[in-house]
Amino acid sequence: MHRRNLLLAPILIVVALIVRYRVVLSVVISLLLPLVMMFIQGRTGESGVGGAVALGFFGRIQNAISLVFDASSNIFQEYVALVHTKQENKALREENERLLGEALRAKQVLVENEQLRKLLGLKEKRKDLVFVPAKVIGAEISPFFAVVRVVVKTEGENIEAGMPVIAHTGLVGRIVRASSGFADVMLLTDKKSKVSVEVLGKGILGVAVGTGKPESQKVKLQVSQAEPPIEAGATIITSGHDRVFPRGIEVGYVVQPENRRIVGPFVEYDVVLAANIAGTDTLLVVTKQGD
Amino acid sequence: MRYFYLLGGSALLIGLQSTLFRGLGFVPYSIDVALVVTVYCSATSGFLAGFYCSIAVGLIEDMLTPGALIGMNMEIMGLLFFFVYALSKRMNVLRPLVLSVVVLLLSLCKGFLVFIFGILFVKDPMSLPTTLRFLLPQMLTTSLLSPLLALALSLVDRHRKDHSIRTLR
Repeated sequence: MHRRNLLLAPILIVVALIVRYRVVLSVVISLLLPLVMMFIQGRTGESGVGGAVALGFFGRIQNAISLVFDASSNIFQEYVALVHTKQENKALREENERLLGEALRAKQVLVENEQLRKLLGLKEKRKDLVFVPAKVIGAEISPFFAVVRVVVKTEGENIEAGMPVIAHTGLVGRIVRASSGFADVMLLTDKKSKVSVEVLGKGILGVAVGTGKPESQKVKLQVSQAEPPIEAGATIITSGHDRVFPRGIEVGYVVQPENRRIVGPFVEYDVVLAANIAGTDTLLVVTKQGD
Repeated sequence: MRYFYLLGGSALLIGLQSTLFRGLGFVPYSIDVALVVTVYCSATSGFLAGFYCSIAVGLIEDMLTPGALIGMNMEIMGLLFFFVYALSKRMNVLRPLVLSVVVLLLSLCKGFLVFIFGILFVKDPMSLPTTLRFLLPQMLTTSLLSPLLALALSLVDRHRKDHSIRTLR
């Protein structure tokens, strides 16, 4: 009996301490938890199961908001059109506005069709790759990461981190997080983005590195100092050497080569991206690459 | 229920910004909703409830922000809560001018914390001047619009009989 009491005593003391300092403990744990989450994410580059579940949940919310926004912008356009009709001849104006609206919608459809046709063309051209379509539903609002959130029409395909994402005009980035049909795409302009590239027709190999300035729509091309100078307008394509991005996808064009800089063992050029994410809503995720 | 409305409203605002501001091209001028909610909670709630609300709104911001380092805003809001809570015991931080100044100062603190966490947990962090330069439009927008946002948040408490809550007056 006495021995049992001796064994129980430390446990009871610990429990009493926990109960007494429960507020302090809960605050300390709440502050330590995010640090642990950041540490794990920083080491592995993944946000774990919790992050995947959250992406699936919050991705749905953002998708719903995106759909509501699309619908409300249509209603707003209709409303603006109606307000204008009251100022002039009602019947004629209404007709005019309706026709204008239709023409505008037709133009929008035409542009969308053009984009889709180009995407389809890309799909036909690159039979070695398997694509699934994706729609942009949100963008990072703080300036630290160049990332957009997309909803992917999975068609049974498994979407994973590391998969390349392209638009009809060129390479966009790669998936950094994916869950239940939603994915975060790290853009080429993100500071962490690195892509093995080559100068089309010249055979010059290099690396396209993100500038961290998404608004500039530029990346830095780093090539060896031993390589000959690159001319303005030279096309940069993926080389496939990083085994992440398939070979031959357009990345961008060299601009102002006279402003090239020497950075360590490399010469650095400015490259304007071929794909501008700001004006693109439909993207393709490369789910499989041929050998 | 009050915190459900506060957190739900914050999630809606953050989600709206993330989705709509991209379409409108206002991305650098987004409002740091989580920061204003943290200030509001620290001025109108008890210690534990306000602290957990701040942590939760930080987590919501992390989750709704594509590519964010999950936990960063959670930690920052938790740390900033202590500062604002102490400050709110000495003055009414919800007065429009005071709120704008406090939010501006807190945004600067957030910039420093982001820089520090960047060094600790991100492989290729930004320099402090770059971080602050990138944050400047968001800091100014948040500071200017924080009284309006706080006014919107105070709608949650408009039916409360508890006079310990000091709303915008």
